[in-house]
Amino acid sequence: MQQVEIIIQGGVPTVKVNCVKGRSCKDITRALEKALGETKTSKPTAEMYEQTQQTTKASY
Amino acid sequence: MSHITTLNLFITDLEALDSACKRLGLELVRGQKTFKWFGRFMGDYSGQDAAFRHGVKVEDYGKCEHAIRVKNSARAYEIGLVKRSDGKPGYQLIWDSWQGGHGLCEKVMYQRGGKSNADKLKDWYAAEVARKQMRKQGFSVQAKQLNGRVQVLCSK
Repeated sequence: MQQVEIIIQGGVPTVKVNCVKGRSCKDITRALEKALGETKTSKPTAEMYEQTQQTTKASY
Repeated sequence: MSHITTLNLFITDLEALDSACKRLGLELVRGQKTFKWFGRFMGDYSGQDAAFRHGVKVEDYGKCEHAIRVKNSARAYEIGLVKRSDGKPGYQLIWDSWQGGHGLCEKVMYQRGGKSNADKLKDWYAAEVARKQMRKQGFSVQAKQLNGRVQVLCSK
């Protein structure tokens, strides 16, 4: 199962993608970042290249 | 008396804003060209978030492209959506928060009188944008209010 948790505080979304392998993780967040606005920080973690998790913050 | 300020929020998706408004007991009225405020600029507010510091002319206070109003309240002030002053697509929001906008602020802020700058409205707008986007990607989505923040859970 693919799971995405988005926490929004002060208008700033923090996105966590779990259980998605490799580039598909980035594909999911890319569309989200485009919809939510300019990316504040986008830091692919080592896990993205292996198995699972990425955290992204966006502001608009 | 006439604290017209910006909400530091740029709107590009009116449909998502409409959904966020409904959730908060507000109503987005498309095409409403004026919004309710004190009605006359008294020169009594010039903080960093003052609307005139963000490209909105004082003589245009009260004018807008669309408006947000509090449902079932004749007294509450309203929020105006005006075109972004930087020329980019979308809208910026301006409002008069004097005396809590007579009921408006408590709808869009987590804490009355706080410096949240309509955080609740911002959070739910972002949540509705995210919900829409994630559904397009085939996720089932649930959003809920937590203490001072919104959680959106998506799975497929």
